[in-house]
Amino acid sequence: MSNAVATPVGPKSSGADARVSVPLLAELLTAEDRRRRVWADLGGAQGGLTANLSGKPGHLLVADLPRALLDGQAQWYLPDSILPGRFWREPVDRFLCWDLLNYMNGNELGALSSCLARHGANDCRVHALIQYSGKQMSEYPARFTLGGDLRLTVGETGPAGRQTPRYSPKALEKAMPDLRVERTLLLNNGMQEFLFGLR
Amino acid sequence: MFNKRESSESETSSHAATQPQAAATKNPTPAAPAAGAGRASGQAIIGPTISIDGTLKGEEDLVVEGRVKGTIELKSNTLTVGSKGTLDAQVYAHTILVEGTVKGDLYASERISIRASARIDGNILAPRISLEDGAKFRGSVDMDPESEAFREAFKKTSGASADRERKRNRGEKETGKQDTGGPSPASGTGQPHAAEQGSKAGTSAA
Repeated sequence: MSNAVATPVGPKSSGADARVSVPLLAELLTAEDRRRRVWADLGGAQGGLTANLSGKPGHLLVADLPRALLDGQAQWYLPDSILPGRFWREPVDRFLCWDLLNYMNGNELGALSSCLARHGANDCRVHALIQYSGKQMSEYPARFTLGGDLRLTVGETGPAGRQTPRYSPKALEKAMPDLRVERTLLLNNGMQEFLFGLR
Repeated sequence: MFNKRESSESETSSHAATQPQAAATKNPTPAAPAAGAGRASGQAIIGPTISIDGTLKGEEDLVVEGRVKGTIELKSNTLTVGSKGTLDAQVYAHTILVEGTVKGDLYASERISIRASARIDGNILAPRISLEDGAKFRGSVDMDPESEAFREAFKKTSGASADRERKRNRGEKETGKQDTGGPSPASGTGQPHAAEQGSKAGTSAA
């Protein structure tokens, strides 16, 4: 089990499209090392992230799993079933999962965990947002937009009609045996921000 | 710096879509680094009913509203994939604007702009990339001009450019008609419409 600590950040906010600070993601994005990094965004393409990573050595993979889910693809939760092998020629340093883990069951989380371990570099970090306080969430993953100030706009994709799994750090580690929870933060929109490392 | 949709580009793009096919200019103007500049003089257009399979090379800006399969090389110019355009191709250009559908790798020595209506599967490599939210993209984004893939792509390009320069110096006439698999033979003078540069390509109405 990890030493994960949940720390509230800022006041509680309301509104579906509220902007929210994501300190753990901001840390990853502003790390000052000039190492070449491979980022894998499991969400949809967004200009804010591309702009943020511009000028930094490395490249960004975009898997767009939400589209695969919308399209009804059977293995929508496996980035390497969406992006063919030629895209995975280098180990990935940073995986961005956004809120996708909330839409996966235990088996899918386990398969994703193996996939990330397969393609992750030794010091790989996995970032995710978990629904924590709300009991309901949108039917499909949210649209995230990263601003220049590294705050996220969370755009809902429909009315809340799906029960949130409200995964705890312990439950996530159990479901994803290849990952360990390193840090967590409670965000002001009721989500919990997670940073995982590989075991 | 990024994600600024320049109004001049939109204007150029919509302007191009309404140009007659004879828009190809005899005096092509290389695209300036700031896209949109100097493009009013004309662009070649591949219209929505045109389908090309092969290699396209040239020295003028090109708008694709039809289908192209193969390779496109516009090393000093801008390629616009219009909203009706579909590429299944490797593209090497100075600047690439995408509003339509692309399956393949896009290499730009200057910039790639991806509009919200775009749908891309492949690698995109350029020192500057802007991507509008709403665009559907799957693949890899590389903005590191020092990367091996980038150097590899434009090493080929610069070699071809140098050869073209040597030919010019010798006063050789270039037809831009045949891709021999060697250095680019394309020239800007007196060329037919870009759609006809498909050379060894089979060009057919879709």
